[in-house]
Amino acid sequence: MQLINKPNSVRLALAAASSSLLAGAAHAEEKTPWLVDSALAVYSESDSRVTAVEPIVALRKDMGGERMLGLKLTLDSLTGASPNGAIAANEAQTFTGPSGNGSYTAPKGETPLDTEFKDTRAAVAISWEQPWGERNRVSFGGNISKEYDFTSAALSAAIARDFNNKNTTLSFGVNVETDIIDAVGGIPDPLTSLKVGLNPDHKDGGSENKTVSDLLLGVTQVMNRHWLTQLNFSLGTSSGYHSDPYKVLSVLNTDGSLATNPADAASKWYLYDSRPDSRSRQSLYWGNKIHLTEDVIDVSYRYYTDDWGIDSHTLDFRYRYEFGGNMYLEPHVRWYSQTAADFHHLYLNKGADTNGAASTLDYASADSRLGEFTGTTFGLKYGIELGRNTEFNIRVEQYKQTSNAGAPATMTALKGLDLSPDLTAMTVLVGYSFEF
Amino acid sequence: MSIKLKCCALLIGISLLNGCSSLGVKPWERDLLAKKSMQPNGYPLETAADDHTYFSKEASAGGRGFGGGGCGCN
Repeated sequence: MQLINKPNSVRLALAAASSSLLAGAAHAEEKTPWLVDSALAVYSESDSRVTAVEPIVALRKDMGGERMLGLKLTLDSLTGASPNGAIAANEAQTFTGPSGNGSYTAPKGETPLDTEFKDTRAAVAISWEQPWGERNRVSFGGNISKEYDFTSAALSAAIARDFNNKNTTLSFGVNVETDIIDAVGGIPDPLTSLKVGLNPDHKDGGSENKTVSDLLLGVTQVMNRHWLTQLNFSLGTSSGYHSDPYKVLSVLNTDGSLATNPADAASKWYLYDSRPDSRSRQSLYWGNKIHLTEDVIDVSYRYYTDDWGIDSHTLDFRYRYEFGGNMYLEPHVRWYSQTAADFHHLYLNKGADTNGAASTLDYASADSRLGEFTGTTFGLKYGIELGRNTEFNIRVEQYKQTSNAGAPATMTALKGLDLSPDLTAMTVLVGYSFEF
Repeated sequence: MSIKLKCCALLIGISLLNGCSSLGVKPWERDLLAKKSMQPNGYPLETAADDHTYFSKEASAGGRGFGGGGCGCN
């Protein structure tokens, strides 16, 4: 009996063990946690300019078979004052706000700031990622974003394929976005004069739209046990309305004083922003992760160029210093430099850029973001890992933009004025990730 | 400039792929690479917040991924 029973009992024990293992596995699968990533970013510019508060929550869950579902919600609240494109002058300047229901005045010698600037944005994104065959992963995503004067919807798809024992990954992605711009007070006609006085009637009042398509081709390579490198080439094209409906350009006399509006002798002359209706962008990004004995270096470079004449270089360096107790400190330095768009003007010259009441230019913008400048970021991050998929971190950064753009000495009325003031902003980012 | 950039990307891409077969690690040597700090985008919300800030303040966008879209801030 014993001889017969023994194998049976072994078989039973094995069956019981394997079934409990299977049950355990099934149990584990049922209990796949939601991974929660949350962050609060507060961005604040000096001189009472823009303040943005941005909470973000992202959820991820393995739905079984390495199929990942992702959801993300972003809110964005903007308040403050934003430059309207006009330059500082040797006299006070008064503008009608975009709504036509109010006005704001820039004191003598100060850059005019539109104080009506205020917006709230909500964005929802959903993504799905899963294996496809043995060596591929595919992902799909959708994104809808809504703010008071702007609506955006985007769809994306990407495929990544592993080679060389998963040491090389090639990826290819496509993103298509459509935007609707519904400007406060309507869309102004490009390069027409801004009228002073409430309820301006020179805007056509309609909305405009823009379509953006992006392609991304990337290679990720494990160089060795300590070094991961990534190279991306991206190509983007957009068509439709690219102008900024809230931006204007100052028109100056040869001595640098504000020109008088030819259609209204009581007001100064400002023309609305005008940009081409298409744009093609390309960039090359090279990123590296290097693991030292304990610490990690993250260093990247990006070259960007577009057919508006803008070229830029971005260098980014982070050093993650692990100092025990699952804590780290990460200093961050970023350096950015761009050339100006072909149609960027700090101001327009009456006579040279105008004929009668009209501009002789096809495109012109005084938006400082399209001008030549250098941006530097210095930051420090502290993080503590509190458990599996659980981490708290806080990062403080300062961003500074400097530009040397100015006017020739012959424009005596502008003497002593800062025509391209520096921009300084502080960002605090608090992050907390956990699972449940 | 764009043709130069394309050629440059292609050349680097080809040389990377060519050299790739001799690079890399064995599956049991992935201990460091598996860490969160070694993931190309280990902190996606930080990347998203940064992309948003720079997209609204600078003329360039993208590179690392499809960064910065869906916002009327630029």
